[in-house]
This record gives sequence, C-alpha cells and structure tokens, in this order.
Amino acid sequence: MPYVVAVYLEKGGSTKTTTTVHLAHAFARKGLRSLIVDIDAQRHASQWLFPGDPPSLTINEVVRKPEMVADAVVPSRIHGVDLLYGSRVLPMTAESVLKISDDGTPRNQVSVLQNVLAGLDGRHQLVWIDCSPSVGLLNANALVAADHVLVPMDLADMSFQGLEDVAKTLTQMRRNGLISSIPDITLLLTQTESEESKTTDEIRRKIVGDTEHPRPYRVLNQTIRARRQMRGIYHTHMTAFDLAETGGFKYSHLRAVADDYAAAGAEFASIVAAAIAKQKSATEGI
Amino acid sequence: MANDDPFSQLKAVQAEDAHTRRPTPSVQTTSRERTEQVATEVPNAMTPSTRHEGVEPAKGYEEEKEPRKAAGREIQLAAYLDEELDAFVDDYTGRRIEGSRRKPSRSLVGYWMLTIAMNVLKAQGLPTMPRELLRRRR
Repeated sequence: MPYVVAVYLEKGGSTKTTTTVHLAHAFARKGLRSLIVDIDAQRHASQWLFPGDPPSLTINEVVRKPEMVADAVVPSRIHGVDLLYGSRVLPMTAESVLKISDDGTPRNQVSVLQNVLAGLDGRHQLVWIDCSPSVGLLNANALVAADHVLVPMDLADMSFQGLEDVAKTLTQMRRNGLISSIPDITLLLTQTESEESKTTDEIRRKIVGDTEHPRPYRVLNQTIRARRQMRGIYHTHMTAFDLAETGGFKYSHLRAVADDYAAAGAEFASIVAAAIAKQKSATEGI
Repeated sequence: MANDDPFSQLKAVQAEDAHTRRPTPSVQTTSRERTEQVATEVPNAMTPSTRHEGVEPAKGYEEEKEPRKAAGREIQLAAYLDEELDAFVDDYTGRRIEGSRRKPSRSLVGYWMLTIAMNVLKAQGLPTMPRELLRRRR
C-alpha cells in the first residue's frame, strides 16, 4: 500500500497545490513514484500537470466506481508523478453519490476515497491528496484515507486560524468515530520576502513551541522561501526544479525555491520512513 | 540505517514491509456498522503520545488507557489548541489587522507627542517642567 499524505488546510491560498506538486516531484526525482489525487474542484494541480483536454476518466467517475481507479490514473508532465485528474463537479457528486451506492445501499460516506486508493495497482510509493480549502465530505474522505496530514502555512496571516481549524476538524472526526486515531500532522512553513524577520521569528517560535510547550504536531525545519516568486509558474506546466535547471536566466531565481523544496522533501521523507518503521514495530509488538 | 539519504531510507522501509494501515472498511459497510466497528476498535487503537518521536507529550496529550479518560484527553487537546491558538491569533493576527484599520485614539497620540517633546527637550538640555522654565526666564 502506498503511504497517503493529505495536503490540507481549510484556508485558501496556502500553497497546498504548489506544495503537493513540488514535494511529489522531489520524491519522484529520488525514485519514489508518486500519485497526486486532485480532489479540489478548482483542479489546479490537474491543469498544471496535465495541460489540454482532461482525460476521459476523472476522480468524478472513480468515486462512483472505485474499481475504475487503475484506469483513471494518467501519467503527468513530471516523470515519476502520476495523476488522478480532478473534477469541477466533484463536490456535487460527493453530496449525492457518496451517500448512496449504485445498488441503493447507503455507503460509508467517509471511507470512499480510502477504498479508491486501496484499488491502486501498487506502482506508487506515495499518494498526495491535494485537498480543497473547505470542510466537507471530500476533505473528510481525504483525512480518513490519510496516514499523514501535511499542512502548508505561511507565517504572516490568518493561517493560524486555519491550523486551529485543522486541529478541531481532526479532533471532531476522532470524537465522532470517523477516524480511529489522529494521523501524524506535519507543518511546512512558507515565507514571503516582505515578511519582517522579527515577526516571523516570533511567530515561528510560537508555532514550533519549546520543551516546556511542545506542540501536538511536527514542524519541518526547512522553510520555503520566496513564495511570491512562484506566482504564474502553474502556467508553465513545469515545476521549480525543471524551470531552474532548464529555464535559463529567466527562471534562475527559482533555484533557491527548488532547493528549499528538495530539502523539505528530504526532511519529510525521513519523517515518513520513521513513521512507517514505528508503525511496523507497533504491529509486530502486538 | 547504513544509508544517510532519507529517500533511500524510505524506499528501504517501504520495501521491507508492505506498509500496514488502518483496516480498510469495505464499500458495502453501512455508516451504522462502521460506527459500531470503530467504537470497538478505538480504545485499542489509541497511542497518540508515541506518535511524535523525541517530543514530550503536550499538555492534554498524555497517553491514557481507559477510553473514558481518553475521551477527556481529546477534549483537553481541543481545549489546549483552542486556548493556545486563540491567544496566538489575538496576539499576532488580530492585533495587526485591527491596528492597521483603526486609528489610535487622540489621547494616545497626545501622550506620544508629549513623550517625544519631553525627550527632545531633555536631549537639548532644556527644562521640561514649566516651573523650571519660568525660573530660567526670570
């Protein structure tokens, strides 16, 4: 089974899609095949990595018929990264279809995506779910399916509120029995050039906590710098890695961003490796 | 592990063990069945404090054995996050946003101006008390 990472924050514009695409690419560059599942109705990840007409099968068909998942996975523009193409009407489908299956029996509403991913053909080491900035049935499905929740957030605005909402959502889901345990949560901090270093340092200290005030989540040491430089990169249908290497002088400023994502990817890989090893030893212990 | 590259470590760990996951409920499971199933699974499945290696358990995140206490822990966790993050949001975001929109009160501006004026006078070696000022004039 692949390791499932939900890239999730209920706030919009927190670089969920950019993070998803770049970390998937960072892992793919190191030989770990990734699948991006786009459950955001804006389907930016899909349009970024699969320009042109959408494939005949999208996530919208797959949630109706989970057995079709292997056919719906398409190769993306990035080598080693596959895509389950998003759908504009997915939220509507979720409201109607997820509740009732074809034979009329009520479905377990929140584990449909988990079932979909269980039908993958085993080629992928990691699955990245690009969530939408909302609370709803689809994101609940993503959180149920996830082994790990990755929260990209910036240091300057209302992301804290978003972080609090993530904690609340997970706690509520846990209390309602929708998830049996709260998955690992890791934060990836992003920073714009304009942020004052003093403020960001203070905020960072508050988020990360200290030995007296440890936090119930992990924060990657690597921060993604210069978020603003990434604007418009989506229209190139390439990532900062490719553009920094092949884009010439025009994109040379993306080198630092690509390095940041590579380092963040490496750090996250070690966390995932430790989590899997721990899970394994826990099950062996039982 | 012999190899220092975290990606290789991850590959090795994944190859070593077909990753064990939470049980996947079948598509046919009804919501009620699932709820009942989870209700029995949950007390056994909770090991939150061991999740974060090298991090001491947070307040309200201690490992609890009895399900009743564990439910309390969840609430504590939520309360902890509420409290911490609410204060946090107020401290940083709230204040900043409000501050940028609302003008400081007149009395506050007056106080600032007076303080600045006093400091200027002091720096110039001039008297800051009216009585002193009057005495010098004489």
